[in-house]
Amino acid sequence: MTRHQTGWLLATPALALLALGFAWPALTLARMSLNRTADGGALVPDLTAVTYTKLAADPFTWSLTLDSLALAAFAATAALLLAYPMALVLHRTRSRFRGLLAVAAVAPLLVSGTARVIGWLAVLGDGGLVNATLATAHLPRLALINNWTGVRIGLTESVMPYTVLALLAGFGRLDPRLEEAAATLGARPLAAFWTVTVPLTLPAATAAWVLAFILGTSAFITPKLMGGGRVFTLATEIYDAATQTLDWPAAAALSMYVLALLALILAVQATALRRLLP
Amino acid sequence: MDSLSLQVPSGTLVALLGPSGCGKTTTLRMIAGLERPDAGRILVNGQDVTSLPPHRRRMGVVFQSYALFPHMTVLDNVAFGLRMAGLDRLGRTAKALAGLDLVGLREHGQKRPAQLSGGQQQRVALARALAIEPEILLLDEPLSALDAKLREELRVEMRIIQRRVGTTCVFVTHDQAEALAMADQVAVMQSGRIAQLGTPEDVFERPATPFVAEFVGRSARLPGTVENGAVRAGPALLHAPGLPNAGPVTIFVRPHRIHVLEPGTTAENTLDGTVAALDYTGETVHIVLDTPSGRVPIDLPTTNPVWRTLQPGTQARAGWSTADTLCFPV
Repeated sequence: MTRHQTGWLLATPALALLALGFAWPALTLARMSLNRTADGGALVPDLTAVTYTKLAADPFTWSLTLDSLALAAFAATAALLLAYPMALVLHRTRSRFRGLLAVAAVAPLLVSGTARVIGWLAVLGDGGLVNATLATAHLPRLALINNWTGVRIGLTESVMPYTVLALLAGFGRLDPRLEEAAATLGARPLAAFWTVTVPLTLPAATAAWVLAFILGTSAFITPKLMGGGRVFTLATEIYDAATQTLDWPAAAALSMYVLALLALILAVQATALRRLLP
Repeated sequence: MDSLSLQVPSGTLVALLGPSGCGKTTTLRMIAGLERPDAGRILVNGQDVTSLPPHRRRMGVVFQSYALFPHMTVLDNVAFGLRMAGLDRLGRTAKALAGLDLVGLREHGQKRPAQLSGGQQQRVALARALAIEPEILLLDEPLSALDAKLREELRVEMRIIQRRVGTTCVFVTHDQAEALAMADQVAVMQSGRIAQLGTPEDVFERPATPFVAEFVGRSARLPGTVENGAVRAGPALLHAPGLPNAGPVTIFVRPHRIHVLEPGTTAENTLDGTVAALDYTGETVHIVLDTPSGRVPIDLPTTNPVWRTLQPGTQARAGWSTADTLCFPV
């Protein structure tokens, strides 16, 4: 058996799982999106693109797209800005608590998304920690929940552990000698950071951003629970179409649309990175 | 690190030589400001730089791994220090090109470091460190990542460049041949201290301690005891200058100082033994003689025909003079 064949053989379990867990449902969805919904709401088996044309003609679809992408971009950017210094410290520290710190950084992943949202409600809610503190200081109350602000805060926190992990993985080859070399050549710490550390961590940072962006675009629990029914994203709309209005072709068509959108974004990132780093 | 005191005269090249873990790289990093000493001071031209951060010390450092910036061209690497000093693009490009000229890499300026060979990368690192016209050039095992032949070539080339530029140089190595060949002064380090500081000839011919004798160059190493003004080593009685009155000692003799005595000749010190190995290396023959007093390595020039009479298992007599015998009390 050649090495090549061995590789494929080893990949078989993963490929099988991918086929079962992703390709099959995706194909089912694709098929479903080509059915149509009768005026009475009944599902009519068909082979038509009418659901797609209806969605494309609906301005709500476009505002949903913009809102969802803007939300994901905000969360990804905020998470990256917060996670970058954290990952840099974790990468550089020689403390014996390094392992513990790394676990702490990704600990939110150990808690279920729903539990985390409930935690946020206790912090950001009307009677929550933040507003109680503001009230004691005789400052006006802030609306931090059941709106876009709440969703932005919650989503940033929920994608942050992934950005920390992606950054840490990407920092692996960042040689501390390079910053030392910059220092001996007269670079102040900030100059060394901008001329050496940032360019060398740029691939890791873009990978972390894209990962957070994709997770943010497809996030459902946070917008649904922290938005209080007033925040609409592509994910919440798919959920509503599938479970509330029972318009399955619409839910399927929207899902295919999000899938295509994310694939496009990944492709753009990959080409951009290849251009940037020959 | 233990207490360490070292003075480097301006314009000279000093080698810190020692086994791994002896503190030589730490010493270098302290001079560069990358590590802080717990106590003590570092002076450059009489000025105390102990509290200065590395970016204000103007120390050119060539790292063991070269630490070239992988995202910059070779030219930008060399120009980096000049850019940090605020030189405009035209000025720093001209200076960086001159620096690349010095190391013979002018045509490679637009390449990335990864496109160069190990030896070329080493020379870029040297040019980059020299471009800032450093107070001191610090080199941390700069040749250790290269193969033997290239190492010897670059050794000569670096020495020529250092003489031409006239920069004071501190150079860390665990390779004694490198230290002896390149340095004006060699500081042999042992567990955080300087065991001996001297010219290459000093540390090789007149080692101050058994550690130096053993670490720098090869030796015959024979244990013995002082008896009536001579050393009894096994059945043999050996003579050495400056003997203590009594007690156990160790005798060191350099292999190239030892001869194979032909019948009818003699020497001040002699040992009889059996040839255990005989390695022909071109210019010299390395002979290992097993004697009752210990194992004796002998280096004979291949121009001396006596080696042709020897082969493993034959009996031979080694001889050397009293003056070439080093003796340390144990």
